[in-house]
Amino acid sequence: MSAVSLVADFTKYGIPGIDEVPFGIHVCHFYRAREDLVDALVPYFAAGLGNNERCVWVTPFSTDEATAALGRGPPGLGAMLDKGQMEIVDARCWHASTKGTDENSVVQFWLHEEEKALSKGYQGLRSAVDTSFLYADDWDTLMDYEGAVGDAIRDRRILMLCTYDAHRCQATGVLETVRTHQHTLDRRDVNWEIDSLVREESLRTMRARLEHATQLATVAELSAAIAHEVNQPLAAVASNASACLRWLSATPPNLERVRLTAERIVRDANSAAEVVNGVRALFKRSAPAAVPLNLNEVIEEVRQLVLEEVCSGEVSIENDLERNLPRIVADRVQLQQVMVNLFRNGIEAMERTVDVPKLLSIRSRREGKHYVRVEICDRGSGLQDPENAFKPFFTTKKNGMGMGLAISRSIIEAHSGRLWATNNQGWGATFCLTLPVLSSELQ
Amino acid sequence: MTSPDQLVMVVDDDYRVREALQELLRAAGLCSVALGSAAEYSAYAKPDVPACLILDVELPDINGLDLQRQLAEGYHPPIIFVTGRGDIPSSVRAIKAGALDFLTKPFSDHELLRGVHAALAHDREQRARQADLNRLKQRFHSLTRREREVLPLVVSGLLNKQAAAQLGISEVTLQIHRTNVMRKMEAASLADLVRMAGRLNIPASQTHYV
Repeated sequence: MSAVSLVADFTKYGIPGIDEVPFGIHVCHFYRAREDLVDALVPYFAAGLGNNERCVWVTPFSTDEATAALGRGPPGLGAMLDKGQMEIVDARCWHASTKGTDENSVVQFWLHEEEKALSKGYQGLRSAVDTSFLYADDWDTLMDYEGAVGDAIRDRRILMLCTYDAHRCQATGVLETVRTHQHTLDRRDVNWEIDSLVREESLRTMRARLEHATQLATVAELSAAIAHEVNQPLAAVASNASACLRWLSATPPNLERVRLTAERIVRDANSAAEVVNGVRALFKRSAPAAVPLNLNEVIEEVRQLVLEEVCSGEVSIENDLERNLPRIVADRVQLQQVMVNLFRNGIEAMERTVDVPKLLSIRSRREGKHYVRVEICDRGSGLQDPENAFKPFFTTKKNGMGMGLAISRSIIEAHSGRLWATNNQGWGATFCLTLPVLSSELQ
Repeated sequence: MTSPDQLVMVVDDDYRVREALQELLRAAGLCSVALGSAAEYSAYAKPDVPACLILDVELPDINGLDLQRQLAEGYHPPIIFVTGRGDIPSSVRAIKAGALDFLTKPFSDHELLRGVHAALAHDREQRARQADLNRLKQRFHSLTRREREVLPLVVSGLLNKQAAAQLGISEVTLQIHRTNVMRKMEAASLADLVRMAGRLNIPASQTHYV
């Protein structure tokens, strides 16, 4: 399997209220006071330390002031400076040294820094660059540079946070700055917010990945799978309709059965249509139909559905759902597909389990302020390589297409969430997914 | 509930399809039972009545075609396959292995019901033949060792004298054995006994126990 990587390149942003962001994002931040800047950057770099990233701070402070500010942060930040993982550069010196060079060479500088960082075994490059000493004379050059940086780092393992002193920016300058960055970071009371573009951005890259993954499937394989999904409810519709006609033409007509079969026809026809819509959403560029959802309800629906499939007593499915779980925004059918897929995988993984009862445990919890987390834990034999399981066409099943987990992950990532797997301590594996909480429920 | 006089067993992993098929069968006046997997089918205590099996190819545990192969080892009701995919290789395989019909979803009710009625009739015959054979076997087992030696000689067309000589007994004794065989096997004539021996796989003029 070449080229396609469905591994999510996310990292903790560190700033309170913001969880994980994809690498390659270019963010601007306007600070009103030096304390604000320190409040944001200390945890930002601390997260970089935690994730073993190389950090560069082009600071508006003197290097001593900057070092002292970091020193007040969590232990380890100082040590990071000592061992060279982090570098502090005085913005005045930096801008003086880059002055007169075109924006491309400055961009090249960052790309080169990233390569150096990766070659030394770091996970990526995390930078904060202050621009305070440039506005007056070189605004246009700065904006050209900002535009070029955004394009250049999009596919790189670089986080770029450009800090602007709000007092020194003109209104038009602020607008232009926001336009040349993908995202804007802003403080709201204790927590911080990054504008919703983050979500749309990752959505777009995930779709591109999904598109790639689905291109790799042969038309025959995909059409066979889709045909099956559609034909099941259609077969039910056809048989129910025939039965309905028979009940109608009986003497006397059996109206009770007529009503029942007609209701089933409506239900199954809708579910066929939903499959078609779901497939369309999956394989074309259209956005998922996002509605506020209670994830617990989806889990319970899917549990019922899956229980119908397994022999009674063979497997038990145990729910441990958090009451008052905040709602999320998602496409119901797509989420159901993911859940059905994960449930079925869990049950299939336990096919050969004999030593312990076959138990699938489902857990839902709020994770931090911004995410809801679901865990599906089985008692099978576990995964040889948990990450492999998500590669398209990777399958250990005789009849599997190997697309289930790859598509599931694409769906979850298209919803700005994450899906991953780990092996349990004792038995089996746990599949975890996180999805962002509906913004109106963020109290 | 009294047990039905015939039964259609539906094995499909999709509850919507199970439900719809049962409804259609019910509307057509047929009694049915629905099962969700090959394992459920195997565990189901099948009533002793003519039956047929509507089997989905794509089952959660084992493939419908594999189940057919397992069932082929013993007596089983005729199979009508249904599939959501309907690829040619599996239909060929199924029919070759003795499936009565192979329908692709969605199928027409006439197609299905025609298949079901044919399958039930087929099973009724199959069961009648089997019951017949069982009766014959029972009768054969009621024969003494000597009578079982006499039977192949008689049906191979030997005269009493020749048969008696082969067994080293008197013609009169052979005559008595022969009469007992005819009576116990409930054979109306020698030709009838020859036919029975054929069905029991008893080769002429050789002593052979079933």
